Amino acid sequence: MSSPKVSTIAIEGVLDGTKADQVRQTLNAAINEGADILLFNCEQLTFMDSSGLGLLVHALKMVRAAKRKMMLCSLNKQVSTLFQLTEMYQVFQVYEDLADFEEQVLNRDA
Amino acid sequence: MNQNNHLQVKTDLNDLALVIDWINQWNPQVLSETEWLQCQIALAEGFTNAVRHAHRGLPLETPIEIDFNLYGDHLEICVWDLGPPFDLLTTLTMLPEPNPAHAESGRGLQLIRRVADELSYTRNESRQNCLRIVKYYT
Repeated sequence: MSSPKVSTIAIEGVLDGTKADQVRQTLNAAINEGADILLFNCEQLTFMDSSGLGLLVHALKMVRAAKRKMMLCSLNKQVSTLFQLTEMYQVFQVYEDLADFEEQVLNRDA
Repeated sequence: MNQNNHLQVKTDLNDLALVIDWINQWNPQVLSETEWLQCQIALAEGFTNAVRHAHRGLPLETPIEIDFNLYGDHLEICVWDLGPPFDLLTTLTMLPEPNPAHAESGRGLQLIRRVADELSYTRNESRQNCLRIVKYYT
């Protein structure tokens, strides 16, 4: 079996309601390019509010409608605190960092 | 020792980064890192609620005032808006729990409620509303 095609979307700075169009456009482009896995790399993400979280939930619905997979990696402590408060670890597939994602997802599927 | 800090921002979601940088100057060692991050999350939601809801339709220049006060056994975050009167606590009791997998909005107030040990939203004689979030040190 060949490896799945991964498209990485880097989220930077503050993720809030003002980033809605940006996230939607980037995601649409990645889906149209035929990515199997949309990986949201949050290494450069400094702060997320509930509207930013709403954007991720919206993104997840878009990805599922396109029958692809969405994953996240490298959440900082603020984002993981937000995820714990809102029970998002039940909703999203989250990896510690990029290496963890590659080990767990790509090796397994290779 | 008590400490009082004040910030004024605009009715502009783009000021969120400024608000977070401002509160991040202090890291009350009396709270765990998680509790301190929870307070920052509550402040962010209080600020964006003021922009989106209390100040809906008001000009960008309309000020939002933020106080961050440290006391002997608790900290207090106040977000002051100039919007119309609003019964926040009654609204809170009527809001449904957002479904984690589906809700794209409606989490802000629940987040504040979950973090705060005490929560109030009151109006003063100058027609300012004050969202007051209190967190006790553990």
